[in-house]
Amino acid sequence: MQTAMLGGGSKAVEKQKATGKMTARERIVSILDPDTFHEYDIFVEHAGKDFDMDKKYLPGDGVVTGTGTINGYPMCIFAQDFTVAGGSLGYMHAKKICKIMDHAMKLKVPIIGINDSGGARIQEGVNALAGYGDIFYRNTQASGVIPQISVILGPCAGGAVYSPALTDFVFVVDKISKMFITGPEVIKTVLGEEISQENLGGARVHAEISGNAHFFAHSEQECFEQIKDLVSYIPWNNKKTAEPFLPKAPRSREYKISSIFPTNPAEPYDVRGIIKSIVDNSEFLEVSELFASNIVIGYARINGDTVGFVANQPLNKAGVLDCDSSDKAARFVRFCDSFNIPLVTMVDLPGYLPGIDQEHAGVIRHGAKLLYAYSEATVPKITVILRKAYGGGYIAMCSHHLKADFVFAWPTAEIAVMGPEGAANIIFRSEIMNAEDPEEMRRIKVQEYKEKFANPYVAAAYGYVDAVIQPNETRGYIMHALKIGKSKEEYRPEKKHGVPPF
Amino acid sequence: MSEEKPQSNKIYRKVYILSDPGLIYPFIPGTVSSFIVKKGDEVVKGDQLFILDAMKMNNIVLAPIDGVVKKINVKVGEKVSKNDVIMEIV
Repeated sequence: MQTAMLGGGSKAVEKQKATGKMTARERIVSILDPDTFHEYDIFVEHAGKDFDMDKKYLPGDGVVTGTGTINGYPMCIFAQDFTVAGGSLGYMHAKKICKIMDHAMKLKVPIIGINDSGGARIQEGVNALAGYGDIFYRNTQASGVIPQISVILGPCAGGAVYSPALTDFVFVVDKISKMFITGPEVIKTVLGEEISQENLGGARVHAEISGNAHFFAHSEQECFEQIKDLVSYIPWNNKKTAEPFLPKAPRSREYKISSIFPTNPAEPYDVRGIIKSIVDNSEFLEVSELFASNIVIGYARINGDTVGFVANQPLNKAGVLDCDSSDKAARFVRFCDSFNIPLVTMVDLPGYLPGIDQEHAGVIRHGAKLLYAYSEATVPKITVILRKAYGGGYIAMCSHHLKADFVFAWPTAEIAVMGPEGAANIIFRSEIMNAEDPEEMRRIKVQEYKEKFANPYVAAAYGYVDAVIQPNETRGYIMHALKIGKSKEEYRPEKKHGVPPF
Repeated sequence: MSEEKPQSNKIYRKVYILSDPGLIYPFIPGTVSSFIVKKGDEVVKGDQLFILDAMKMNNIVLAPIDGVVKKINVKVGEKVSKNDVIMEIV
């Protein structure tokens, strides 16, 4: 028992510590509430028979599994132990992971997986591959039933990265996490391209460029705090709602809409300030903060209950929708819908990003994901239009037409088929061309269009906007809408599942 | 007369090169309406560099890295397209 608890022995542990990493058990204990970790299957032995593996003893077969609590919420957890054969995945190693995953599914509690592994245990051959496959299958079955959290605290390469990719949230730590399908060695041999591990699949790459990681931390401890914060916002399973907190007022001295929201419609602002000014204690947990930051997604509480926020960020790329931001938001919407978290959408965008790059990168397909996700979602959907809502962007951002339950608009809202310049150029083409001074005529017509259509009242006249509200009434309206929407029931036509534009 | 070109057998492969973070490109074509920094200024990551009018918005472009503004390639009021380097920071 004691030898098993030591993992790969003091030498290997020292090596692990030298790279700034904790051991598997230390990590688990740091994430869970004190003295709540109960470990299982510590006496499991590996199943390798070939290459003299049968003479080797691998404590716990390189993975620690068990249960515990975070802030009193039940959790299943496993952590790969890099000090034991490099955390490599063999048959029994995978069996232990599958067992704890099955456990989580039966008990309907979230699962946290800490990945720190060199990859498949080559000596065990096809049995190692079978192990991965079994895990992927369980990840997929559990998707949308229990929240799945992956923490990358070391290398996670080859097939192994697909398990985190199938889970709901991926946490990475700077300089420690490394994820890739093929490493720098293979890339060099096959393609002749040279790149370091860090530049290929380091924490920053996945948090900023690829979007595979949702939370970025500078240290393991910071990462664990982020996990604790996140689990406080999400329910244990898809049959429950998130645990309510005591309602708190926003910190209105620090976050005031009137001082954040500019009067000039062309001036950017940080939409996170607007969110913070209407949520409990002005606390907002942003997801995928560094990736596609032209859209903001994250969790907050209103009147004690968890709410998922999706908001265009005018501070970045004018808040446009593009491939990455649509993808990011769509996934978030689907998570919230699966786990009964009401959605609040804040709209201020000039539209979809034009350009050859975007069209060739498939902005049609990616943009459609957002439409799909919103249309499919049956949780209460509340939309607040702050400023611009033009064209396809207006529809995509949870408009009345995608069955938003409540659409509110500030008096500054501009809801129209396209921007005033573009629209005037098309509608008044002949007037402008035939005028004595076309430029002057264009200016007049743009102004005319602006006055007539760049406001919330045209949409409100058709019932597409439920109420035009003052910015300082936003919290009150959302609070009321959430209360009224609590017992919402909406059904979709019977089907096995849809075919989203993946 | 047809101007058909012989088909090439050459396989083109995109080579991935990490771009220099100090070269500031516009995220979308637009007009540079004003500069907040000038040549020779020292900047810290997150500092405001210039305003790019595009997508109906006066976008504030921020410094991606710490450094010194080595070169400014465009004038105020000039239209910039996607591949124009507006500013170089070293």
